[in-house]
Amino acid sequence: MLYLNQVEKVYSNGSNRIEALQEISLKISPHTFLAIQGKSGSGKTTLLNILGCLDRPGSGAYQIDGEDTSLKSDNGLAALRNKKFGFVFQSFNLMPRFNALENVIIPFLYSSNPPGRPKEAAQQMLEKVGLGDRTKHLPGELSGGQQQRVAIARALVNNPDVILADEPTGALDNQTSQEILDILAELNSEGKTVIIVTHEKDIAKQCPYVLTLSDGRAIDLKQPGNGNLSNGEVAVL
Amino acid sequence: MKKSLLFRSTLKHLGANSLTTLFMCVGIMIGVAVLVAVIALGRGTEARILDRIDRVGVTDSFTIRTVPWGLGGGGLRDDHGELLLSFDEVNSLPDQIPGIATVLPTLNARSPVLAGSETLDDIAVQGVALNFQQVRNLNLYSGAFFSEADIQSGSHIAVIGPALANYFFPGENPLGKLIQVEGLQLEVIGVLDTRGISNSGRNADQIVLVPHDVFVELFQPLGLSTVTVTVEDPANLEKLAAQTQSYFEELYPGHQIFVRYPMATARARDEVANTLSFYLKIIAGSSLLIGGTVMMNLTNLSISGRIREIGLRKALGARNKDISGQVLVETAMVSMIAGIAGILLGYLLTNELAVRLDLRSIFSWHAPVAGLFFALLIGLVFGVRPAKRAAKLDPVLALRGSQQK
Repeated sequence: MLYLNQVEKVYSNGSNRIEALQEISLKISPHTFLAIQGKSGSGKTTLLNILGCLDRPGSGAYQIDGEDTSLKSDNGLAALRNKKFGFVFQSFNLMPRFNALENVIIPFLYSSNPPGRPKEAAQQMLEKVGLGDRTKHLPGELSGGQQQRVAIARALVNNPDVILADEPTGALDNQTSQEILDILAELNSEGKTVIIVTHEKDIAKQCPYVLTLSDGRAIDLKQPGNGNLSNGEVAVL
Repeated sequence: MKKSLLFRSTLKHLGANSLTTLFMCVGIMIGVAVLVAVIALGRGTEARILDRIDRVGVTDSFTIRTVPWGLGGGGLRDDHGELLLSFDEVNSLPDQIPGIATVLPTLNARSPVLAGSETLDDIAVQGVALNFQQVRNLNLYSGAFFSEADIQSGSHIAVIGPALANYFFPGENPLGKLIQVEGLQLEVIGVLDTRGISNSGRNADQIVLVPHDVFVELFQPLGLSTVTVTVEDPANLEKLAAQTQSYFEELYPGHQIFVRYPMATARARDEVANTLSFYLKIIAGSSLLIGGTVMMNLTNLSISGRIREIGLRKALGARNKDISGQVLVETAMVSMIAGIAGILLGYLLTNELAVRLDLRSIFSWHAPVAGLFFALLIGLVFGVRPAKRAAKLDPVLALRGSQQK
């Protein structure tokens, strides 16, 4: 359970104050599939970063499974990012000189209890996203869709509860976008919480829950149908 | 798994940026190379000094002369018009200055030496006391040195250098044979071991030693111009030498007395090596510092180029110390590579210097160990700042590729 209570985030840039998030109160239960949409600058990514413990709320509280994140040290947050969350980015963010397998192994470097056979665990994840035969390929030798699948395998490798994806399809064509979304939906059906940030309406409308942000405020929460995809629940409080 | 991946990824990164890595290495490499040379040449020089002191034989004695070294000094009145100390004054020295153990008057002359029908001109003849052999650390090849009885009886006997023995009595046993100096027949009772060329550049093997009194009989010296003095405690050597010098200068106003210690002589002769070592140390130190600074700046630069990577690693769960550790592994690895290259370069440099400047070098484990130690130290010390900077990057900003808000 992810629980945000009156979360605000303000950036000051010289004399400018940018209120990236205002009065966000949100409850996201396990197994939810949530899309966050909104215009550029509406605070989508800031919200995702706070959910993923990359950033701390400026004010307000964020609890993960009942634990207040403001009580955690930076190392504590790093451990949460490693274990509880898996990140997927628009530009894939793979290490260009590492092959697919080595990229997937990276989270184990920072894990408190990595598996005994990390390569086999990474291999399994690559097979799960359909890249079992591309493990030795460098990112440059893979298509965009394949690279994003490597990134998803990397996000999954520590068996996190929550997948956070920031515009995961933003750099991909329509067909490949759909494939990536299908993978995410499948993960959700297996029990993962999936939260994606997107500005593409076609993508958002396939998600069980769609939260719309505008100027840092949560202005709308919809269930466009397709509710059977998700067991979880989202509530704007 | 963690470590091998960390090392391999660092090597990959360094290899992919080989030019930067090379620049990072250069300063430290030169520093280590010079350091290796300093140590190897320093140990060689020290060994050479000890060697000389060993050959000269004494570390608890000093020598005083009434003329500078290189001039006369045999105790014979000659063209130099040198000041001659009286035997009585010299022999009473242990009573005059406490701490002085013995005095060893040195009587030198150069004279033709004959044996059978052969003659050698200009051979060093020395009049020596009983303790001469011990003080000068002389070894005999055959026969015996003068005994107390020999000296008191005034027998006409001599101990000769091996060069003379070979010249006069090739293939024969020289013991018991006769040589002739200044018209007097002397019986050879001992032959010295080979010593080679002495410090003053003379052949130390072409020498005739005779008892003190026999020398007086041969050359009728009027006094002494060279005296070797041994002291009871080597720690007081310099103090006693200065006392002795001023004692004689007061006794003979207007005359200068010259003092020399074997150890000081041996050291002074290696002034070239000492000066070289001094400058090499400065070069080594500044190269290491410059190398460290260059490495620090290049590492900073390389971090700026990898900000997104650092942001990603943080997103994947890297703690601050994981990031700083990775940077330190990188600088340590660069400095170790530079250190190993520097050690190899140092060997070449040392050999080159040793050949060109006629110095001795000794390689031992000290040089590579010190070289690697200092390389690693520099790598870690100068890696701390970039490492801290990388660790402090804000993950959100770093993921966007920017460093500042």
